[in-house]
Amino acid sequence: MGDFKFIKGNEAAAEAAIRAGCEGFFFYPVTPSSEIGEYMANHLHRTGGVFAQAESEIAAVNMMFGGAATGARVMTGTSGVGYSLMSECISYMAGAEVPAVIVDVMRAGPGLGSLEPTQGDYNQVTKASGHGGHIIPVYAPSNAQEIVNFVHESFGTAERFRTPVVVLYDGYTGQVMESVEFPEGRQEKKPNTWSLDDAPGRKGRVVRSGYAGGIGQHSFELYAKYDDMKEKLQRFEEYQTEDAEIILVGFGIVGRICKSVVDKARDEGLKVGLIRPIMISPFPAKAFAKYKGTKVKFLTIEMSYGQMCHDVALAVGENDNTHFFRDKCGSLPAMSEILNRLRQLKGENS
Amino acid sequence: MRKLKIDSVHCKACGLCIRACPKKVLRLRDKINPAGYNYVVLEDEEGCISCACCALNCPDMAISVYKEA
Amino acid sequence: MKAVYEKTTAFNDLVTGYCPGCGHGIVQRMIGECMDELGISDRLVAILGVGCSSPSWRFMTYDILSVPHGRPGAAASGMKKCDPNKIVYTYQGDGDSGSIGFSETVYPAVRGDNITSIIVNNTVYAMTGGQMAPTTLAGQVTTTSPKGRDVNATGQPLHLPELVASLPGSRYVARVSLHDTAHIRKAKQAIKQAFENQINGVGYSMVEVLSPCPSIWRMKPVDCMERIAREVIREFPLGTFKGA
Repeated sequence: MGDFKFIKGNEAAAEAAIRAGCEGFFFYPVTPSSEIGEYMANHLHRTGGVFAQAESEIAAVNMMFGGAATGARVMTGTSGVGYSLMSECISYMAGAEVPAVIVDVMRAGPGLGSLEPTQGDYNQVTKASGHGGHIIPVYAPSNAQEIVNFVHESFGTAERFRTPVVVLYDGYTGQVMESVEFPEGRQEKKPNTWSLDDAPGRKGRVVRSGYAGGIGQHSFELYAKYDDMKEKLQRFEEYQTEDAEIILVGFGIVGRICKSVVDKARDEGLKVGLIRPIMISPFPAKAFAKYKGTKVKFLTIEMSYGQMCHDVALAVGENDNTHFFRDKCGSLPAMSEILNRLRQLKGENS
Repeated sequence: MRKLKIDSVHCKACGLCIRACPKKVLRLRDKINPAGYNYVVLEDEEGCISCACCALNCPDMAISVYKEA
Repeated sequence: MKAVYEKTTAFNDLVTGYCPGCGHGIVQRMIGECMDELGISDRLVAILGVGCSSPSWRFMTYDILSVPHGRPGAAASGMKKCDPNKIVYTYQGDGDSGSIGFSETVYPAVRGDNITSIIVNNTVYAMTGGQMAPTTLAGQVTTTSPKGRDVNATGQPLHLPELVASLPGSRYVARVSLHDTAHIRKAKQAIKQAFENQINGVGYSMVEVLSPCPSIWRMKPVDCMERIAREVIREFPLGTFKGA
């Protein structure tokens, strides 16, 4: 029997990290993510991990960088506004190829915005986590169980690809309490040859992202890593897509709602399916390959002006088959509204 | 063995050792090193008292200092 | 023949990239000597900010972490928490520490982190071509204070050590200079004291070193030393502001 807990999404993220073997947690409070830090403050010492609250997100992420450079397994938790401040260092960690996990709990923006949920940070996290054009893996859990699974897994991914990894979800998913089962055991931690560890008598090492005069070669090495990620990390869920005429595309909490919409649509005889990206970076373009040249239509649902829809359009190839249903951020899209849009699309079809 | 070992490749002719030497026995040579600097040379071996002021002032660690045992 | 003075093991045999007469070479040499004398080459980590010292990892033989401009203080805190066995020092210019990194430089002292902060103060932003820095003297001409620094518009030169010394969390704070042999010896003592404090768990230490910058000041190295002795020290008095 697994170890079950009825727990808030954010706290599940922290507990999963502790069990996975997180050794250092550095953060700055920001709604709707602060419970992650509070939980760590209360529990991380249980496994000998260290906790620190910094004077800003800039300091928090650089503390994490300092810890990660020693080979320690580190994490932070923040929201979009904090992620903006952390982006400079995330770029440095990507360039220095240093593993770290960043849990980012989106809140409606831009600016101060509101605490209600959004998916408006999709582009920021998948495309622009700081300057430099680096690609970093991003998990998009849609419920507390997936938060647990992906935080647990993210440490392994970060260390395997030597990169920062983001676990991105919205305020609702972070605040809602759900029953989760925690996976057994820690994430195995393999020795490495790059970190400033305590191996006695070894030669001095340098952890740096500066490659003046050598950036060309370094960028080719990074490109090879990005290809490797694209090969191995594309991940998605397909739901009732076998005979679907229209396929919904939604990630995170919207993906979860879309699954219910599919069931309802099927009740009305509408042949609808769902593709739910699980890793939104690298984007799971593979999921759309088999629909090339078919008449299947895609309806992307996002709580933003439209960000992932462009990745979908790129993956599908022809633009006429992809449609977008925009919903204002700050509130979850109503199933009825999506169903109306589906009926419209169906009408256009026949 | 000489009292000063001056690494002509590392010397950048900054002159700080010459200024610091209490005995004023150092000077820039007319010859240049691979980087084009007129590197420093110990002119008067006798005058040198191995006080190492030159080495302490050298930003490039180009000078090692020795004394009769 | 007996060796009186030989090069520290902290440097490899590359010619450093610093300009002729630059203070970085002297300060880094002293830190290297402290490493040898205190036997901490296995534990020492330099955390470099961004500036002329950024590429100094090429010449070093011990562990180095290069972090974003201004952030070494935070990285040092995080590293020390994760691995207290490390002897961690931040190595920054006056701009890296007193301008963009002001918060991350001061907060380790607020927290009393057991780390060593070394600041090389040449009163300008040198790497980027000689702009005004927080420590630029009143009336000093730089590429961004062409008519000389106007303290009414930009404030007085920043005295970071005096400020940090006022924080309960700091244990040893000093300002030293490189402008002649006697002062170089004192600077070495202060830096060594700062590292001994960390080894003995005494707590946060900061040493600011007044340093020449021939290329940006457009002066010969020897004249830079005179400028420090005549002018810079008048604005930035030397001494130990806290701790033995």
